[in-house]
Amino acid sequence: MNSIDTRFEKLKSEKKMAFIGYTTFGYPTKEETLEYINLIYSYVDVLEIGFPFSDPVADGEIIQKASVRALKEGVKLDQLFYSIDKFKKDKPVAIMLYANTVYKRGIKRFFEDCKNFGVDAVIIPDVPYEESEEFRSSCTENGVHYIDLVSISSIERAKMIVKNSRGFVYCVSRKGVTGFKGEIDRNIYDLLDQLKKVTSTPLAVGFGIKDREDVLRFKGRADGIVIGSAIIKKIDEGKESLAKFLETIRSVL
Amino acid sequence: MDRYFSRFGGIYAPEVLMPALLQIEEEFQKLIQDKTFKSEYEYYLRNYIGRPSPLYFAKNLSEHLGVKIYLKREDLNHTGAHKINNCIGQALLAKHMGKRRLIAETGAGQHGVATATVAALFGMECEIFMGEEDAKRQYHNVQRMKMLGSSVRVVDKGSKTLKDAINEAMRDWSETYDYTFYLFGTAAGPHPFPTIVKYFQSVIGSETRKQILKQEGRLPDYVFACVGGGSNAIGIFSAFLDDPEVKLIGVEGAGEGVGSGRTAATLCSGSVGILHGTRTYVLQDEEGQILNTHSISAGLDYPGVGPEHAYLKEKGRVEYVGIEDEKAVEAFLLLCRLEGIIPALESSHAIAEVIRRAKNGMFEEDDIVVVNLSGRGDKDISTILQFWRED
Repeated sequence: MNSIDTRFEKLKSEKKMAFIGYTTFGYPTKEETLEYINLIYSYVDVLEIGFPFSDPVADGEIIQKASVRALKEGVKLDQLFYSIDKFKKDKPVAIMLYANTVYKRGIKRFFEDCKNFGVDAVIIPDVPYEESEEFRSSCTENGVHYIDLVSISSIERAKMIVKNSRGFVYCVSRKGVTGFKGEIDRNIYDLLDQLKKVTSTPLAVGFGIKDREDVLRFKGRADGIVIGSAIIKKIDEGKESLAKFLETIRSVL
Repeated sequence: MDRYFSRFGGIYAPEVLMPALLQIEEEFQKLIQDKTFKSEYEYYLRNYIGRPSPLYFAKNLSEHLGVKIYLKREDLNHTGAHKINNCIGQALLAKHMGKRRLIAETGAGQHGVATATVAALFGMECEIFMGEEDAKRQYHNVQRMKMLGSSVRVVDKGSKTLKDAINEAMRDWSETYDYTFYLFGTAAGPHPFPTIVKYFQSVIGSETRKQILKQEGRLPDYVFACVGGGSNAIGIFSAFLDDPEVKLIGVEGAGEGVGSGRTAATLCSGSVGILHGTRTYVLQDEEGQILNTHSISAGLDYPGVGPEHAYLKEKGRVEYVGIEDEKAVEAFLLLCRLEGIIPALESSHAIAEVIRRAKNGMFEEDDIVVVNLSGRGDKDISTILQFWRED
């Protein structure tokens, strides 16, 4: 059993939501990134590491800037793979990256590397359901979860997508890109309710979640929350501020 | 509708945009069957754009180079380039879909101006995304867009050119698709854009075919077109793809040279990857990061290319070559002086390849050559002056 499944089952029995925390590999610097990853890893249930891409169309300003900075630091995909055993202990690790990074390495080789280096799941935000087959099948062959994204932009599509989802479903809570703008779109509640009727795969909500109030809105409605841009902002404020933020989120799950 | 051209193309877009893209595909398919739409589109082509554009026999250039050269005068279209053909078509589609706002990306500014123009014509809101670098080198086009009532969002991220303008437009669209139509300017991007753009630009090819048959009584031996994203090229090539005797040549902006690292010649020096929603040739490093490009022509300065061109390259149906900045400037001047036509720097690349082949004796005596003169060069005058100063 994939360790993501084990983790979600445990949390379900404890009636808790999963905390999926995101950071960009190589941020804020190549030297410091592992310290921050370790710190975040100690608070979350699933660590999501983004590998930077030059043209991240699904990301908003904060993660985009982090990607630009990390690329200037000269980070390579190999460095990410070889770093995983430096922080990974008992909790699952997912990596988020864009299709071209996977494609350039070779889809088969990429997912074999995921298996060999201990990656439990992969999130590719620019590969929709229609294009996912060649990525998904290679992922499955290696016992890695291919995480489906669904959006409030079409509940009918979302219902179709989640039927065979594994690990968790990443439910995009707002129109647009990552980062926070205004209030949570109430359509997300409807999306969660509808999806629960068609899948037993855990549902995690992401995009625009920035504080404990946002997290509390999903108590009892979602199985997990994903926080990315808010974590990157806290990294900018330093370790103490980041730890305090992670602690606050942890305390309300 | 096929999403792929063999192994190229596809719809690699964030999930949030998928319903919008699928809806455009569906509505486009319905609309092109609709007689009222067709006659409306043709009305604007004729009476607003000024089509058909002439196929002009360039007598002086022909004598100079020793080969018969015809120019397809897309530069004579309203707004000065081929871009308007696609903009009229897509704006009608947007109206049909009930969208009130258009957004578009632009490099050289021609697509931005054409989009701003149709937005004014059809009474729609309009916002144009343009890289900071391009906005500087195409100052006049920025002012034109503003005069036409559009706002221009200058993108200061990444390489500050076309690819970053596309990224930013995609981000905007993923928030505003309820009321916004993304009027994609070239035959690249996620499905269905490559097919839609080809459809609306194929008018160039179908007119050229009729015109050359009328004027010469036979098909041309060569058709040349410049290739950035590839919309004017796919437009003119479309009518000749099934005529193996017509050699089709796509000319990319090689910048300082195809192998120099400062180039925009994607098909000549790139490799297969996924960028801006499509699988195609891209300029990338060994990790799959997209490289910054260089071409003297803002309109060719793009690290990707339309997926159908990638397919036509692999199939061997079209030959793709690169032309350096310097050669394009020489061709620009030659056309100015011999024919009294100031061509766009983009099209000057296609002219330059004809010059190169003529000088190297690569044409037969009675060959007929057609060059798609995709736009006029008023916009490029400050770039040329700057190039001389740097030289």
